[in-house]
Formats: sequence, C-alpha cells, structure tokens
Amino acid sequence: MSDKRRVVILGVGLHPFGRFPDKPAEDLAREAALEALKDAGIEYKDVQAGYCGWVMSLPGLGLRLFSELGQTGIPITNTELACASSSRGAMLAADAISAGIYDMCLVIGIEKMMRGLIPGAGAGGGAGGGYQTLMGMFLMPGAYAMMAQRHMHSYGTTREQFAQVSVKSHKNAVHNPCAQYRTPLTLEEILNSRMIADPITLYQCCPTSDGASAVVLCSEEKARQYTTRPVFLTGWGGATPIYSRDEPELSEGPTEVLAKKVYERAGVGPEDVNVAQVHDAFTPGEVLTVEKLGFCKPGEGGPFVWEGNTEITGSKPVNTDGGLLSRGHPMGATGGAMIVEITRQLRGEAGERQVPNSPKVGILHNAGIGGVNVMIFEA
Amino acid sequence: MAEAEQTAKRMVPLREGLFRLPRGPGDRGALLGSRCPDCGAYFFPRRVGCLSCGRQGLEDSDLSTRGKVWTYTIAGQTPPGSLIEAPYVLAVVELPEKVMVQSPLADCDLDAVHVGMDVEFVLVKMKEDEEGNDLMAFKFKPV
Repeated sequence: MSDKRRVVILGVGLHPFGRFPDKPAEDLAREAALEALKDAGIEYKDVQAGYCGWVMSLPGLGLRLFSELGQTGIPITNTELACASSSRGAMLAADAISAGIYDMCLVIGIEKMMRGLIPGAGAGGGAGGGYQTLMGMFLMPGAYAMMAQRHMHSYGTTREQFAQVSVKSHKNAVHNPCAQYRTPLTLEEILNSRMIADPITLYQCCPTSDGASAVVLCSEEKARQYTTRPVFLTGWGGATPIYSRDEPELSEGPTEVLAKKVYERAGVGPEDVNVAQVHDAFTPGEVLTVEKLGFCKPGEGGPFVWEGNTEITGSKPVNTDGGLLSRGHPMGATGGAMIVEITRQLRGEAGERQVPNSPKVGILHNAGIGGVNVMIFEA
Repeated sequence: MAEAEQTAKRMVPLREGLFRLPRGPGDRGALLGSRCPDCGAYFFPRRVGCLSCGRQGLEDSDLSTRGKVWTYTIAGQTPPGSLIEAPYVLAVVELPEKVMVQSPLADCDLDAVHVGMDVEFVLVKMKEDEEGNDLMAFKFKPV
C-alpha cells in the first residue's frame, strides 16, 4: 500500500431520513449531494467519477440522479449490496483514487421505501410465491433473531442487554436533526413492544425510510487545496461468507476476519478506535459486532453494551447519531450516512452528539445481504 | 363408470427437488441432499459444486431424518405469503452429516423449544391443488 495515494473524505451531506412521500428520489439525492459539494468546497464539474448506491429502483438510477447536478460525461457506476450499497460505492471510489485513476469522486446513496416487511429475495417462482416464502422461512429478522438465540444459549446474553442498544440509539438520535425517530424510549417500552421474531421486538428493529447521503472523496494531494485538516480513509475492505462445515454463517459475512485485515491496512488496532458505526438494523447486530471488531472478548458483547461502553461518553461510542434503529434505514443511503457521521465526529462537528476528547480514529461496519464492508478513518 | 371418474388423491411435493415422498410402508421420506465423492461433505439443498473441496459433480444422497436444533426463533408475525401463521418456530436443524437445514417446526410447544432439542423429519400437508392432490412440505418435529 505504500506507493498508493492516500484518500481523503473531503465533503459530506445528508437529506434527513424519514417519510417523504411527495419528494422524488431526485430531490433527496440532489439536496444531499449539493450539501456534500458545498462542504467539500468544490463544484460538480470537479467530480471525475460518480458512484450511486441503491437497492430497489429501475436501472439507470445513478445517471438520473447525477443529472440533477449536471451532465459532464463522467463514468457513473451503480453499486448494490443491499444495506451496504453506498459504503461499497465509497470503497470503489477509494480504490480508484488510491490507484491514481481519479482525484475527485462523488458517492450518492439513495432509497425510497414502502412501509412494512420487505419481501424476501427469491420470493417469486411460481404462483403464490416460492417454497421458502410459503413455508414462512423468509422471516425478517429471522437470521438476527436466530443469531441472538444462539448467543443467549452460548453466553447467557439477556433480552435486556439486546434491548439496551435501542435505548441508547433513541437517546442519541434526540440530538440528530436528520434522524427519523427523535424520541427517547425506555427499556420497558422497547421490551414490551410487539414481538417480531423472538427475542427481537418491534422497537428493536430499524424502520423503512426515505433518505439520501452523499460523500466526496479526494486524493490527499488535491485535498490540500481545500482543507488544512483532512479526514483520511486509511483502510477499507469487503467480504462475503466463508463456507464452514462446523458452523452455519447466519450473518452477512466474516466480520471478524475482515476487520483484522482492515485494521492491519490502517495500521491501528481496536484499542485505538474512538468512535464507531455498526450495522444495527436489529439490536443483536451491535452486541455481536462489538465482539467481532475486537472492542471486547467473544461472548462479552451483552455486558459491554449494558455497562454503557458504547454510549457517547463511553469507551467505544457506537452509532452516536442513532444508527439504523433511530436514524432510519433507507437501504442505499445508510452506508454513506455512516461515513457522514464518522467524518463529522472526527472533525469535531457533531454538536450535542460530539464524542469528547477529540476522537481521532473511527471505524465503520456496514452489512447487507450480499456482503459486509469495514472502513477505518483517521483525523 | 365410477372407477373411471374417480380421481386418485395423491401426495405431491409443494416443490420438487427438496425431499422425496415415502416409497412404501416404514419409509417416511427424506430430504434430498448432495454428497461429495472426493471429500465426503454433504449439502442441502442439492448442488453441483462442492463448497469444501471444489469438485464439480456431486452424488445424490438421502439425508438423516433425525437431528438437533442448532438455533431457532419464534415468529411473532406472519410474513407476507406464508401458509404458516404466527406464532411458529423457525429453526436451524443440524443433521449428523454436518448439514444445517432451515425448517419450521411442527407440533412444537413454544415454551419447550431449546438449542439442542432432538427433532425428526416429517412430511406435512400444506394445502390441496386444483386436482385435489395433497401438496406436501417438510418440517421437523420434537422427538
């Protein structure tokens, strides 16, 4: 990696997450992108390549959205990795910048979603749905619920410990003007909400949402023209499940193995991390992931969260803006939103959500059906 | 006349290729798996390529009809399109061949299900088709 150029997160922007039935995707994307361009101090004509993360739309969405900003002939690539689409888009931009192909890239993440449960992939195939649909096997959040039950069996993790993730999430989102839900919830309210798939109750599930995110990535050399305090993307990587005869892989990918590789590329370890974003589509996501990122030992994720370590004032602040649970989860936009929050935290621009003592190193874990991404940032 | 008109009611799999129906008395049917002749790994559902050693071209193999619950959840709301209504147990069943099979559980007390529970393969009628045949699916039920 030593002869590769360093990558800077030069600008970030967000359209609030929530329900905007009267606003087309073009409007959401344009507002997020204009904010990111302004934040970067550049104009659209300076962008040399575009990446658009989205999941459920018609082909060609990337071009339609970027056309709101201009038509300059640049290559625009659509990236789909379910909930991890826009972080993968940013990683592809970083690959190109570090290899010297481009100096300046723009990544837009976007989604407009219906209410309620998402139909399972492969739910077609014959009248009335495929076998798995008919047999109740496309159960959201079945995989996370089953991972949670196994974790409870193996380590004694409790329902309260999982639910505490949601308490923290909703509390953090009170200070996030772009979040979908900004009202605190008590542990009892969360535990007593409707059971979706045991042990995951309704308030332990992320919502469906509309929203957009945008990130400008830049080479280090070019970034020096625009900022004296760059936030660097120092390591990144993606992975898919690895076959094992001994254990099923119920999660989206081998996070622990991937994180080790990315830590090494970034030249840091879990002990150096000051702020994190993890995939908390469902509360067990945070409990399991803090273990896999090395913040605590395997099996200790429950107590680690329960004791407040992942609070804004804790040793390893996680999802300081409310995460998927409260910030919302427009699938294509979430990865970019994670980058936005980490960047603002490392710049000291997170206002009432700011992690104290000038956080220097941030890590992002973004998972989707199709793979998992880990990215590390340093101020 | 009546014989010619009578339609034979028979069992038909809800989907082909996942399990076979019983062949006679004493046979309860079985899941249809694949076995790698090179490394001995088993897979369900059937597949062409071995994930363990990479060999292309696997043997068909009936799988064991007894296993243990590796993990599970209890569905609190019925997913769209499901014939099975909540609440029900959805489990990952581990078979002796080291194959993991996702399956709803039949006849299972919601308070009794646990990791390690012994379960056995069973065929259940889900509904009838236009000709009055029984459309069959597989589940596992507590032993």
